[in-house]
Amino acid sequence: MFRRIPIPVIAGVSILITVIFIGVGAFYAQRAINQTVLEEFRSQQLQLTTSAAQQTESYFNDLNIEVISLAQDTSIRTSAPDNLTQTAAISFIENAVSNRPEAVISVTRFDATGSPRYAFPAEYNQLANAPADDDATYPYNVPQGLIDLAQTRATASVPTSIYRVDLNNQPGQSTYLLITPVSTFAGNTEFLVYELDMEAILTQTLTLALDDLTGTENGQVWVLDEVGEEYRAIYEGLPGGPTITTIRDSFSTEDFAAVEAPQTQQYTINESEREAALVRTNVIGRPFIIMVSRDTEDALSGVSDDLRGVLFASIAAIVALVIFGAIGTQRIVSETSRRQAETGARATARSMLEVSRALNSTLEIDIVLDRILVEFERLIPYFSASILLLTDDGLEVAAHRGEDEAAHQRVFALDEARAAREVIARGHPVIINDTQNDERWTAIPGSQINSWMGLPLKVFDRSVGVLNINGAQKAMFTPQDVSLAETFADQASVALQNARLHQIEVKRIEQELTIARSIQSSLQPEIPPEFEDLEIAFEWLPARQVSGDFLQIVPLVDNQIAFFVGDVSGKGMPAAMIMAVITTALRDEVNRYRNPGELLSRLNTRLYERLKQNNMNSALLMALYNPTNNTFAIANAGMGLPYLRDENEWSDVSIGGYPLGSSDNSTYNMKTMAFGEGAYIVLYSDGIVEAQNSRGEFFGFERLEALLNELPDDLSAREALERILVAVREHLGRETPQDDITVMVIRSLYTTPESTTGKLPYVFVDEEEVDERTWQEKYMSRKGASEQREGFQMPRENVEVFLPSTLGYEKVARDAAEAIAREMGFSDDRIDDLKTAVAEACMNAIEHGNLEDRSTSVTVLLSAAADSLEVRVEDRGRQTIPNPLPAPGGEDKSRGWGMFFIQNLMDEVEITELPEGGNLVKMTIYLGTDKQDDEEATSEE
Amino acid sequence: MASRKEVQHRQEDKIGFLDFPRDVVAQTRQSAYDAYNKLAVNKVDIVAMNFDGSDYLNSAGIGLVISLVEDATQAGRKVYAYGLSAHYRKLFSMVGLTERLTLVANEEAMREKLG
Repeated sequence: MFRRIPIPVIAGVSILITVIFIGVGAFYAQRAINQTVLEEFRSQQLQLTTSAAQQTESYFNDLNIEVISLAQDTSIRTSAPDNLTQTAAISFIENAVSNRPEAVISVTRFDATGSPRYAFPAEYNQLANAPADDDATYPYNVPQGLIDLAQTRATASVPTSIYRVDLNNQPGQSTYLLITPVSTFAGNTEFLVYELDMEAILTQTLTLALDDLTGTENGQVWVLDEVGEEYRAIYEGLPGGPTITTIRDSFSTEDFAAVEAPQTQQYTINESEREAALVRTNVIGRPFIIMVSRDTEDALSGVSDDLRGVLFASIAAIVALVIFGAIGTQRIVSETSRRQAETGARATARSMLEVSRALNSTLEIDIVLDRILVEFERLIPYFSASILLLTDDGLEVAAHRGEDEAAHQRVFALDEARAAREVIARGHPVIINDTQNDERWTAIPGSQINSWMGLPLKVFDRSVGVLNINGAQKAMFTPQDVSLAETFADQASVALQNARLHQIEVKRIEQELTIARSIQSSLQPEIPPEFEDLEIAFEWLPARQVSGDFLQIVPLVDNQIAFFVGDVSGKGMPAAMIMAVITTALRDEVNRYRNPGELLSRLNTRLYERLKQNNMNSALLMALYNPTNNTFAIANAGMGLPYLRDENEWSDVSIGGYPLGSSDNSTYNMKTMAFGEGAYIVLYSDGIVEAQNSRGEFFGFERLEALLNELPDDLSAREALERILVAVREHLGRETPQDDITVMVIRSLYTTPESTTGKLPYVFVDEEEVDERTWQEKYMSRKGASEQREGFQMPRENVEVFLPSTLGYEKVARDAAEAIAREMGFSDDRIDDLKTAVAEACMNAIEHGNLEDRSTSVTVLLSAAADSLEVRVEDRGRQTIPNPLPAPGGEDKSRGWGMFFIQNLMDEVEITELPEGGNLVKMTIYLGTDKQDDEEATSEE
Repeated sequence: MASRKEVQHRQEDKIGFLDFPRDVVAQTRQSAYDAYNKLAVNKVDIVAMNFDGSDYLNSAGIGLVISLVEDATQAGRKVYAYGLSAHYRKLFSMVGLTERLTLVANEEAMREKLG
């Protein structure tokens, strides 16, 4: 039976079902809407973070150009120390940095030692020029390590532009250093240093991102480096407030590496569920991550409140839901449209960030040009494209992509390319929607190009070229495309300018290096000189275009030969310049100082200040070969110990000392080694023993010594040298030498006569055993049978004595002269005359010639010939000995007798002033003559 | 033992002795003048220069001897010198000292001459 159900019951059930339906519907609706809101929330964060990253990157890239331009300016580059130039330079800097008042704190120019030369602003300049003992010292120093790095890179061919970012992690003290060398002439490197307010820069950039997070009260922004350290954080409403200072625990180096593309991640900080957007950015070659974070509860809470309101309102107004259903549908359609637009904007922002990163990842101009075209196509597809750069001849095609009729044309006259000319003149993009019917376009028959877009490439608001985009269809480019392309062109201009400046700098340095290499090569011997008793082979192999190694071979007037091998600290241009200075100095001094130890001391004194100023030093070894007794006298200032083979055994010559320039009072010992028949000596720079293979192993002394010990006896010097170089090359494998390599091998060609019993030329006889032989007979006896022939003239035998400029040492020369004269057979009277003359000449040289200056010495050369003994006494010319001499016995009868004795006791006397400075007294006595033998005058009364 | 570097003096009645050191050089000047002045204050009539211990006289040392002899002769004192090698006697002659002093072989020879 049908039972009629009352309407109120139906209504009640209907309402109940409706309420249940609405309740269940609201539950699922809230889930769905929460999900939508969260996605929107993440997307919005990602878009804003991407925008912030792009702004930061753009800011630094613009700044980069300004800094390079500043460093290139002639006002800054000048090395003139006068105040006028400094004032002009500071004025220029002030004008240049006026665009960045919020960022630039100071600009300082430093020299190679890190000392400030002048600075902006005025208070910094005062500190930079304050006396050294002033209490107000300059607050910022360039770290030594940074100077070393900059100097090293300044002399390398690639990279030549030096950038270094040095960020201080201390909150509130963040600084940003950017260094570029502005001058590297003659070993002086100068640096331009910006001190930027990193905090101000990041605050300005990142506050924009935070401000855009409207309706959020607890958003945070971090800037992180690759190890998770924070450089800047802006916190607003973070739970726990100031107790949270780092997110290092939540973000690791691995996390950093994983952020290749913009992304969102969930974090829990102080029990708060948070959504963070992370975008990688690139500040002049250094990666950072910008991270924006918000509490997800914050985003969802409003939505939950709204849904609850809807639930209660729906019970009372079911009908209203139906009526307004259509309105809700319309809202959904509108919201969908808005989201699509935002998605497009997000994609554009991400693309521009990727473009910026790609363009700024290299400084090679050809690669930059190519990338501009590739990246543009990813942004806006085209039929073909090219980059035209302004030159004196018109517009040159610097890069091209795609196939069209103009692909092979390299240069366009400006009149010929009217559309491009318009782009340059206006400095704004130009679009041609129909190239076939536009008078600005010179159509090529059969061309597939129907639309065109030209974008100016600018440097400091000046057009330097055109980005030339060709479309296959008419009206291919929309206004949105133009806006996007204009932004791209700005990025491309920055990258292009960076690359052009880099190219200019590379060319300049390459030219300088080429000239330096040419000069340096001219200072080195090209082929080994030939000598009677020696065979010489050498190689000089610079690791770079110019070298710090050097070698010199200097034949001297007395038939001795001076060999030098040196190694200036550092490499490249500064080392090469110092090498040239040392080479000049040693060639000058070797004619005055024949004692290698004394010569090195003299060079150290002469070069110390210059080396110290440049923070450099130089190792130098001198080996002086004396052909009269077949010996090498060796002194060493910091080079590797030379190896000597004598009597079929190799050994190192243990003699060393500090490199030149290490100490202002270095002294050097000398060691004399016999260098007779079959002897070899190897001189080398540390590039040999420090040659490093791919496994990091040095060639080392052990390998070198093992090699030498295995060398056959009869190798020529060249063959021995080749064996050494081949072994080093084999050790290096595919590695290139890290340091300059210099090796010299000298081999004795001397043959010992059979009758020779001793190596030293002088065999003094005991006074008790009078040798009645003549001087020449004694000589022949020592030299052996080869000289025992008729008419033979014995050569001179030389003994050289170096005296400190201190009175009393004249007796050393006097005793040496006596020993030689006695060996030669002079009479006692003549020997006494000689002793007095030698002593007086030396005293004159010490007291008057050198003014008792202890840094100088007196050289006494005793040269014994068959019938005479010549004595040369040479001083350094602190004072000239008058010639002719005033007669003694004037008003002061006690003075002036020294030269009187010399002239009256010697057979020949000659006093000359040396062209290079110094006095030379040359005296000769002959065997068999008695200058004065006035027995009557000297006998007792 | 280090050799003596100063000139020493002694006196026997009117004879004043100057004993010269091994090296007679510029540095000997001050002690020579001091010794000579003391003899002069004591009004000696004869100055005896003893070079027995000397084996090196350079031009400054010979100049010093010239100065002493000049002063002594101007004061009317007679000067003797002994202990010199043949070479230094030759040098004394060359500078004209032998005209102002009397060279003798030794102190004994000088006393004989003085009678």
